[in-house]
Amino acid sequence: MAKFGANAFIWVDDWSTEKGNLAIREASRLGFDLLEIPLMHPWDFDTDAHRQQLAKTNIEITASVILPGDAHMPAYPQKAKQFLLDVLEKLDSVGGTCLCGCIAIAGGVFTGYPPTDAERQIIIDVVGEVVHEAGQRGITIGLECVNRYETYLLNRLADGYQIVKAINADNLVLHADTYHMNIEENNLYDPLVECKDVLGYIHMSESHRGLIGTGTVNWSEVFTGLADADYGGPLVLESFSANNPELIAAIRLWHPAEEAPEFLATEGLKFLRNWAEQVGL
Amino acid sequence: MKFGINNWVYDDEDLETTFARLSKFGYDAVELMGELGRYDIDEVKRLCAKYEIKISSILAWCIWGIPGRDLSSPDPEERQAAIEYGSEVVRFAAEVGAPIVLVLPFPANRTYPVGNPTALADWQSAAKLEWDNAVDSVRKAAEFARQYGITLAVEPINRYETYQLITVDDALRFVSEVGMENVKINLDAFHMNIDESDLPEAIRKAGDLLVHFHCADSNREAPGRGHTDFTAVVAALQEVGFTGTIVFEPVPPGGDPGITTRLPENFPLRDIYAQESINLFKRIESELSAG
Repeated sequence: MAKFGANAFIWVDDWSTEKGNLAIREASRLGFDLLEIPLMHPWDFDTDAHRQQLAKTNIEITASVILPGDAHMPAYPQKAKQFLLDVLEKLDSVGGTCLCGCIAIAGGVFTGYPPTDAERQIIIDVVGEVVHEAGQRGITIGLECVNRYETYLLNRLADGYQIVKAINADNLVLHADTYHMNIEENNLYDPLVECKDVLGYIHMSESHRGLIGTGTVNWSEVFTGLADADYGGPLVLESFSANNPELIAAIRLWHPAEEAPEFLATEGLKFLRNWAEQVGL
Repeated sequence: MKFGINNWVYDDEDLETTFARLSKFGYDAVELMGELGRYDIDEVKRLCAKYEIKISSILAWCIWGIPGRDLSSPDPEERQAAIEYGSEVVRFAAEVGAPIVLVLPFPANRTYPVGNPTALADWQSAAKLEWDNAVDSVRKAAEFARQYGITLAVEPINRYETYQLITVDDALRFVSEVGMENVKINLDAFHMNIDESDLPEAIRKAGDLLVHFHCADSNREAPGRGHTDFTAVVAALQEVGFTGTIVFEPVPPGGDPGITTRLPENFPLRDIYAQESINLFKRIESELSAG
């Protein structure tokens, strides 16, 4: 049976000591196997408090990031690498298993040109180094592809696949996200199957990022694709209920979900479980 | 149904090449982007006659960063300039026989209130002010357009291109606040895939206010190349008695159409997309009529 995860943004609009512990409690109480921490500011991550909270649960921890604006990897490789190493250290301190998300790009940074081979090579080199460091800690790295409005690099799964294959490491996987795929992919089935040998993490997110199952994402294609890809990674629910102007502006969530976090989480988990069972994931 | 393509997807291609292409593939109309300096009215009329192509509509080019195009601006001079620009577009539309002017009440590519306030209360009051400004500006433009028998169609665009007027619900509220009979709605299938939960339902909500329809697939390429269910879209358009023009805006693969439409290696796609788009819709129409 697949592992079912949840991104903490379902409950909180940022990760702080209190908000983080609330997300840990809620994810565990509602029956998720895994909680994904948006670990965007490692400098104030409260390892001790979270370790205490986690000790009361059996929940697995992963983290996702978006590189800060001044650490867009192709432009600032050393800063990007240092940021990721700082995140890895904090993630390791709470026993985390996977660091994923926008690990090679800063959100909303554009050059005005198509991606270049030189940019891709920097990503291959620097992500490769980070993957090696992560391997020393027993942590897997997931490279996520996001839509054209968030980056000019790595939009389609095929773009990420090329990088993951070039680095070719046991602890590096491709990270898919159905919200972004809905904008970028020609359909939602083929890319999952075509990338099956490296696909290891997926955000299950609706076209409007609210209650899963109520938007334009073709879930039948997603689940049959995952089944035919023999997908063995976690299914991580990503919805946003948080009403924080900074987060709203960052992800352009001008019409936030009307449903309460608990409803998004419990109905979302039910939805994922039903589909996973149907396709034998 | 009538079909057209907007010429913005061909960047700075000369007009005759565009007309010839659309004529070759059986189009009824072309939609012109509202950079009026590009056009000579007599030349446009000559091409319309020569190729038997109509001008379905003019897309007012309300893009953030171009001065004098922001109908929602807190700056009254900017707003006035934008209303005057709208009037020029209306006059041009009337001259070339286009019954519709498409309007973005909030300029594309501005996703925050002017000044980008960070405190929630400031943000909310700035957003409200810009909404009210846009309603007022569009009303004034519509009063002018009425004299020429021109309809203004407001278009919701996706969350990454504006922070207001994203969904059909937003558009319905906007049109109702403007309260003019010649202010209606244009929907766009590409944007709808991102921000509507259900495309046919959104079309039904717009109902008889829907006077025009923009079309690209979910990946903004030609219909058929992404995953939008255009059979359901066409069925919904028929259901609401849509009599306007379906205007395609297909752009090459890759994120930014400002880049991809200009790459010479993509130029062969102009013919291919033009042909594919109309062929798909004609096939859907005949399949639906065959039941």
